[in-house]
Amino acid sequence: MNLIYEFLSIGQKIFNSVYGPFSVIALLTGIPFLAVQTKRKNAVLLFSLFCVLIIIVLRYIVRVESSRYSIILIFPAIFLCVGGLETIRNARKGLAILLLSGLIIFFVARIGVILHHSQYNQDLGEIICSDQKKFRHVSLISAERNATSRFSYYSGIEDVYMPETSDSILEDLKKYLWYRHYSADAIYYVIRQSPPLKSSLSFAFPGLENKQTMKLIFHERMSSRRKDELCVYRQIVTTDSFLPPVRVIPLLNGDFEGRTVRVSPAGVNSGISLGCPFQWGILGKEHLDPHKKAEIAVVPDALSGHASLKMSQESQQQDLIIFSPEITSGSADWVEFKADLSSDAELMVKFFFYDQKRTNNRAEQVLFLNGECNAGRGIYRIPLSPQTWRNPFKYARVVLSLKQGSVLLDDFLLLNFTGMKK
Amino acid sequence: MDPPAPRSLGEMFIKNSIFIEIGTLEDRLVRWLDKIQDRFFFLFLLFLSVLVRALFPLVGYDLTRDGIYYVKLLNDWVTAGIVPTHRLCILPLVFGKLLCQTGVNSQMALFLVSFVFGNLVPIVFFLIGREFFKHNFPALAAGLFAVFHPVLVTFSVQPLREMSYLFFIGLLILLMTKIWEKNRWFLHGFSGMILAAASLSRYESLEWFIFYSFYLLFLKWKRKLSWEGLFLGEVLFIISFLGFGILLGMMIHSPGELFQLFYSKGQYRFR
Repeated sequence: MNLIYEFLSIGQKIFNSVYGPFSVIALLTGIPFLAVQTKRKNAVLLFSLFCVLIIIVLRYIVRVESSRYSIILIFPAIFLCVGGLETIRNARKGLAILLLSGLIIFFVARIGVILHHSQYNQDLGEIICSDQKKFRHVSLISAERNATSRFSYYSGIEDVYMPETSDSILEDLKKYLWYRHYSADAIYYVIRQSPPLKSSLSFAFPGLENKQTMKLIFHERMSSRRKDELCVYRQIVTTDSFLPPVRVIPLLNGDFEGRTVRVSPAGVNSGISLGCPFQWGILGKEHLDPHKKAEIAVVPDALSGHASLKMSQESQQQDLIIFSPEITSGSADWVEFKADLSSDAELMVKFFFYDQKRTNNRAEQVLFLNGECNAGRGIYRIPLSPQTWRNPFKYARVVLSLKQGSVLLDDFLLLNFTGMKK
Repeated sequence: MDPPAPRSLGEMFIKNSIFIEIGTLEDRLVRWLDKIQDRFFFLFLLFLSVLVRALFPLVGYDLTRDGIYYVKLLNDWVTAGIVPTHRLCILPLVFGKLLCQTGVNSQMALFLVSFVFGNLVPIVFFLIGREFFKHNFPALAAGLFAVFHPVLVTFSVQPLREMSYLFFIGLLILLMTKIWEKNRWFLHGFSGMILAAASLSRYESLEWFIFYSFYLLFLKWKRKLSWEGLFLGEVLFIISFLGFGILLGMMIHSPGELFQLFYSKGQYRFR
């Protein structure tokens, strides 16, 4: 079934590469042309058809992902159409020029339609650009995966998030809102919706009294055929609205007050110095470039208590990776931590799930902190809800992967909503 | 006796008189077109093409996702010196970079590259059409289709590689039709150079390497080429393809970088 679906899908892309209606017209007008020329045993035409066949077969072999890869078929399509018109002209005077004029009028009309709905992304960008001037840090969530780069380009927002799945888009949006609310003053949410449009979107978070509301600030129709509209919702974030009444369990040595184990003593010429906090672990240290600086250390310049974990490194191919002690399934609904990022820092936060025998494992990226957007101190929360766990995974670790820059980390806590109002 | 009632449009259709009238007009047009010199067709197609494509920047339009990607690549290259070494298909970016030297921004530079090639493509269609059909009317029809085809129009105003790819492949097809008429050694050399330029625009052009070889065999089968001619043509084609391709590649990369690129397994690599 999948094979048939894939075959049809590629066929559709090839068909659309020369613009669907024109493909049909080219085939229809081309039939009399092909019939006449085949009767005359036109070898050039047969050779051309052979080349077209190879072009199509090659597209199937490489499984083209976009119709642009087959745009070369516009040559045979146009000449097939012209050949058809020429055959019709010889058979019936006057019909060819009518068909030609009709086709050109059709093309002009199509160009007019394209022009009519051709700049909704620019309009969206202008609205967001003027609106975001009121805020210090803004963030954008896009439900339209294919258009995200356009939203980012036209709005000028680099801190863009795309939910991973489209079927639970609102759940993903809630998750994102939750862990971005400490670092963004305003969050824009771009989604395609069918009328009637909602003037606002409301979310209830577990453990919170107040609902969070996003207001519609822009909408524009995207196509003349479809009624869908591109909508932008905005939420102005206030930290007060996210006060969590939760039961807090400290993660083992999550405050980094315990002892440090030196992992890699710095050589005479090495810029690497790795001091691993007790119960934590370091990954991929052997791949680090010794000529560049990289450091993991528990330092007294603390975010809270007496010590914090410091990670810093110069930009290089290998990330500096540290992972937390084990978290068992059901022990926490959220993981919270404090972080202080330098302006050039790029920190990836992941969950690494595994089973008892450690034969099955899965890594899931949950948060990306960028120094440009998240510089300075902040508290971050990552959901670890029952939905996040999947069989057979029963254990998880938080994995912190630093690409470049410097970051201070402290107070890793497990937050539990069990038994509380949801 | 009453005068005859005026004929309705339907009646005119039924009696074919409308087709006869249009047919007469068409015959006159075809004869007239065959008398006109080529440069008038070129100017006419170019004028129409520019007119249609210029509507887009005047009205305003969105860039495509890939268009934005190329604009960013060129911007990084121009402002930070990061050479876009992701694959070798960067000929439009090279043209864009040259245009950036004149002071235009990356988006405008890539737009101009696509725009120029996009306006030349209808002329290529016209020339190929005339080689195929030997008359100006079908050739003009092909040119007009290329002028107004929505896909070609939209790609002509996007900062993408498609128009340079189509332009060079169109030129290659034109040269192949010329070789059918007159087998000259330099035509094989030109074909190789043009295919090299097309391959530096899009990888898909490499399939024309196979078609060209088959085409020479086809010419041999049709007794338009001897075995020596076939061999010489193929060798000239390959040498000019490799020579011109490497020359163009070395304008952007050092030989060592080129060697590394061929073995980079298509990964995105910068610097």
